[in-house]
Amino acid sequence: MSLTLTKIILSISAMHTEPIWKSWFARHGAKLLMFARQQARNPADAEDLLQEAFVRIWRLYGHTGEVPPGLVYRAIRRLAIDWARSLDRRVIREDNVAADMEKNAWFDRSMERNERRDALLKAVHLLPAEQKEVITLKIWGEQTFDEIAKTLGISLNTAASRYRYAMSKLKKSVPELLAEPRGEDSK
Amino acid sequence: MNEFEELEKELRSFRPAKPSEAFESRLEKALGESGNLAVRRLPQLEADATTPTPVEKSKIVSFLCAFTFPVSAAAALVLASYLTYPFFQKKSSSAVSTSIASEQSLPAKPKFADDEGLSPLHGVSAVEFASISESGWGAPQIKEILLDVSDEGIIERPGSSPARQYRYRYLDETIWRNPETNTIIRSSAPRQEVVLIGLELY
Repeated sequence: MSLTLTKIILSISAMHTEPIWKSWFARHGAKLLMFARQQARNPADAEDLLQEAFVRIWRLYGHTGEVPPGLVYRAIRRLAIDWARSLDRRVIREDNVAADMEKNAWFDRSMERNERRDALLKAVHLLPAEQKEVITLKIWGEQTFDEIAKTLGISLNTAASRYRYAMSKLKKSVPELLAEPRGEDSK
Repeated sequence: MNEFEELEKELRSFRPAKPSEAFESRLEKALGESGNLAVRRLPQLEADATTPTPVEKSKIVSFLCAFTFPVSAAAALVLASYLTYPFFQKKSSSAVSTSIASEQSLPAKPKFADDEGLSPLHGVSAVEFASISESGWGAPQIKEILLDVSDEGIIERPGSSPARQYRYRYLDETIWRNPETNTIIRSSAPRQEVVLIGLELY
């Protein structure tokens, strides 16, 4: 036992080119921020949410060097619910407007764009919130249905069925959006 | 095949926007020290510290057997002697005090403050025990087994120079034999000694 303990070594940042949390965040940060943007009402709130959730979880489990991203997703979700409860309704309405304007900032803007991709992106944003969060966690967060269920506080079957509904809706709505006259969007 | 496979592939091609550098430095500040420190096992040490090999396991098992068997046997015998105490007491009038061990006959000098430690019964001195027990008990054999020595590093001593602290762990073992009744009582007690060796300051 003492042998094992003596073999545990404190690795300080000086020994690495960067602290462990930075490489962890480089892998998961973008996905977490996207989920936080979905849960928050404006970009500033999303960053605050992510910061609060990440710092809390990292302080608890960061010393192990490896933190399951699911813990941070769950923390974001819970904090978002707590913050929403404490907000005034008028503020929520104003923030919803800001959130609509922010939708396009969810993804990397340097990516190649075409009509179909734009239509798909629009279709994702048109999904009901509860389906959108399942899609986000499954596609970009790479979470299992079990993890999604835990994060959102729903049953595994509900998570799976919300995903199926969302995907069916996207499959159907993309051709419809492509067929629409383009006047409104180009403004 | 998954009916949404194509769509999933298409959706995955959208990369979530990366957090800004300003946000990361904000995060760094908020994390403080907990962001700079992490406990990790080095890979080569991790391999060394894995579960014991079958040979190591058998060593551990044999050590445990060797250690626990005499201790439990001794405990059983001590309990048996304790239960037969009234019987010994009745016979005490014809006690055979000749069986009491003399200090000279001991293989090692006893470590105990009085002779109570030579008795297999707690709270009963060896003299008392001998007066109440049967005849035929030989001189107790005392063994001091050094189990482990550890260097606990340098410690500060208020008003004195620092010292290096060594901890010695012993097992003091006393064995009583009665050849007449073919009985053995073994008692083991762990003991620690802390030795401080003063260091010269330059």
